[in-house]
Amino acid sequence: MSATVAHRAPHSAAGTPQSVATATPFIAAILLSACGIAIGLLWDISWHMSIGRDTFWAPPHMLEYVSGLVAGLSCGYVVLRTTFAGTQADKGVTVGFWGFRGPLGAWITIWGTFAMLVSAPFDDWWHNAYGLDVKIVSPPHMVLFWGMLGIVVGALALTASAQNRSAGARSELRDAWLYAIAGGVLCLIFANGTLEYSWPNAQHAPVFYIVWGGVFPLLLVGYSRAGRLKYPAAAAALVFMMAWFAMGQVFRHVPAEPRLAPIWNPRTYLWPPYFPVLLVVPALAIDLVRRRLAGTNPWLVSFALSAAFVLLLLAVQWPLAAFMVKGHSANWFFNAGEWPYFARPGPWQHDYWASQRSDLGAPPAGVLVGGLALAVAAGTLSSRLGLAWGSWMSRVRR
Amino acid sequence: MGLLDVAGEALIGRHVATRGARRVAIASGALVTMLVCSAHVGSPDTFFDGVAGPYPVRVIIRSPAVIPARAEIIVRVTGSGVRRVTATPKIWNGGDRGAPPPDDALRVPGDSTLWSLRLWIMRQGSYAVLVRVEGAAGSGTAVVPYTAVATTVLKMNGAMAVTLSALALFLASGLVTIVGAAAREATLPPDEEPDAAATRRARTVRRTAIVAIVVALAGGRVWWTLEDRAYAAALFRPVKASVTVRTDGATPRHPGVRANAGTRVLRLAIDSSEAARRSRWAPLVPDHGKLMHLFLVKTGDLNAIAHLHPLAIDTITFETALPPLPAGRYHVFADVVLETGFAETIVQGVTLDAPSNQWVPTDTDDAMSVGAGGGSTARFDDGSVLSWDGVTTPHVTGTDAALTFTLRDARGAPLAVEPYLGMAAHAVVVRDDGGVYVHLHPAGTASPAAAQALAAWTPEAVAREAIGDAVERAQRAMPPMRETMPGVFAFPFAFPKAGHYRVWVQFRRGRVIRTGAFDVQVRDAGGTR
Repeated sequence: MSATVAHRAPHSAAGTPQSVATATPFIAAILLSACGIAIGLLWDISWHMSIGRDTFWAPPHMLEYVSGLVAGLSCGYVVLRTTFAGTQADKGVTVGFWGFRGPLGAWITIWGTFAMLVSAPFDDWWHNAYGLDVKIVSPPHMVLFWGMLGIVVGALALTASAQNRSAGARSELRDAWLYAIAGGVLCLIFANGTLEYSWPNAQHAPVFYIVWGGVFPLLLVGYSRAGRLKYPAAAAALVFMMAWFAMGQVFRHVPAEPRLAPIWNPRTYLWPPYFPVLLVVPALAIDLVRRRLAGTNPWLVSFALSAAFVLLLLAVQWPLAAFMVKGHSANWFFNAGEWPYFARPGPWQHDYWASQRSDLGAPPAGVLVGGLALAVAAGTLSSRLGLAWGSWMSRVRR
Repeated sequence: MGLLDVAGEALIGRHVATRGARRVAIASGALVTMLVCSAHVGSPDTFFDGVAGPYPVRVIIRSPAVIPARAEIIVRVTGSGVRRVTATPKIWNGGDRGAPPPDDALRVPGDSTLWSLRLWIMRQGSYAVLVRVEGAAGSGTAVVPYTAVATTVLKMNGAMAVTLSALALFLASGLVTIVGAAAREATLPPDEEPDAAATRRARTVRRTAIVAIVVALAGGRVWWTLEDRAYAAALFRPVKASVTVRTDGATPRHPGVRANAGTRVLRLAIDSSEAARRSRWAPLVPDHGKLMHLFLVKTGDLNAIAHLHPLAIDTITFETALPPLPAGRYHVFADVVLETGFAETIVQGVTLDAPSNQWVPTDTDDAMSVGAGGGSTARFDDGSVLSWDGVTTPHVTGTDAALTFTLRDARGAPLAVEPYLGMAAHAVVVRDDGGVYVHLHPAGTASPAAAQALAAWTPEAVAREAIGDAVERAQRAMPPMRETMPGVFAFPFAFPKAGHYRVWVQFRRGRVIRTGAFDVQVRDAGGTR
């Protein structure tokens, strides 16, 4: 794909010749790989909840490997071509790494591919030492997750630099949307990673707000600062929500049967993710607050962004969670009441988890207020990092 | 019913069964430390002889050392026209709906009667492995009780540690270079060279990244250590018990423990705090009509054995009058079965003084035997001779032990026996260091009570405390003593480790329980197990 582009050597609207390192099809290929990684990860999680048993060759694994390899090999090709056959102009839009030249995003992607590869022997040893996967979150899986994250962040860096280079050009809108899609995919990866804390039943407990307040402002404030759409954070959040919702719709049509004992909750189709968190609402608040307060003290801005994010997340998720847990939400649209095969049926499924599954009911008001304060504090730090990261991201051009 | 032939079994041993173990032990270059298994000691595999409908089957379950993992199931089906063999693990409290769909076994190349598959075992606990055979003669299912426990801690060896460290260093240095490049030149307009300030900034960022990576790796190490400790804490440990010996006066302390004045009474008390900590502990159910089968085996020369059935004084305390065993140090192996179908051996040691009084057995099925082991025959005072038919077989670990015995009279005519604890015979296999202990029946290593408890288990039965009753009912249906059975005993088994073993075979004839003792040297098949 990259090769074809390289021979065509198209020109961007700005008039500068496009090199293999900046060609849109190359960036789109990496973005597509990042999508494959994020979708493969959620598919893999659903597979473990529905079928339980997997092998090296399980379809979600294959999607992850193929995505990782396409990304790694494409970037490897671009690096080798730019280093050994690139013109001075080609090399001018790249950064150096141990004597080689390539776009920053390509290096991050290649690093991610290597991390994914390194996790394989580690994970194999882990299975021999501690048994086949019982926990999703284990040290070798963390290495794998960082590898996947590397590929998605690589895609984000590539789309960010493309967006920044095309400022004022005809392709600006297209590149800005590519950047928003990459942002949405990164949200999707982190939503997979925080799934454990995000069940609708957990959304009346402080830990959900602390985790989401700690993680998502970093991403959304960063997009908001660097994106060139009118509402960049909201756009990325919308992409995430649509992808999550779409997978919920697709998975419920894929037949699946649990293959591991004990089966407490027989399933006949893949576990579909529940209705997505309404991230677009607090994301829109981040876009608006950030624009309104631009130029003031960054810590003050961060606090305002965090407070807006946490309070709006609470405002939308609290009633949505009530509907998901207690309302008529066990239907194809909302996907409530969908449990893994290993979930032993009990009252915990129809109640809120105050802190964990065994602790049912709403948490005391004091605990909730304290938790929300902690969420705002975590969100302030997260937002501040997001501002710094976004500022850098708005300037990245290579 | 066919015994596994040595060649067939060796084939499995080399090509199928130990693949998982070998992968653990060799491919990853790991150091495996064997701890204890649950029922039995040092012999984790399950051997089962029985029928699946019209088909005689022998089933071997090669237990993995870590859980979750896959257990190797090897099925030998004799009988013609077998089309399909499947197996599925049913966990003790999962019911039929909790069992996954069956997995198909594949034929082992070169042997038309041998099938194998690997079953996923995700949790520790007791299972009923349902082995189903379909063929021209119809179909049927054998229920094989299986206790899955994690017994092994795997340590990383040097080569693996160096490889993973090198890869980690490669990733870390790559990451440091990337963030340095990002800080130095990623934001520059095309073709512009980084200035001195950018280079300085890159250096600072790289140093910060190194600190962050070191902190992250240190955090990862703490996490790994915690995971390792949590896994080690979940390893199976047999419940602990204290064993004491006292001498009763003229009036026995407990009426059930019949004793003369001066009789030694052995008391085994299960450590209740230890048992309570273990979530898998549950009320006991009788096996062969007894709540506990306790074996005393003299350490060192193994020249004395007693098979006793202590009386339950309460739910955790058991007492029995001691037979006149010679003075010395003894291994204590006490077999119990929980109502979850979990079979467990309590291991202890006790020192006995010289006997001083006549023995009044606490239980009519109690027996003892003193003397060295024979090579191929055991002679009894009524002139009968028990011969080990398979004694000439070279005894190698992991292959069929050929534990086939025939009882004949002095002229060589076969003799019949009366059931002893519901079976034609019982066998006990002990290695001279006590590191291996197995209690065998013609049906194999599995406890019949475990199968009965697994069959009776429902949440309602637990709530009504009805599982023990169901197991007792099943055991009352065992053959009564007046019936006779052929005096030919075959025990499915393979020696797990090399060493010097004593095999005791116990049966009842003429209302007397007799014990034949045999010695055997077992050599290693090649270090795979």
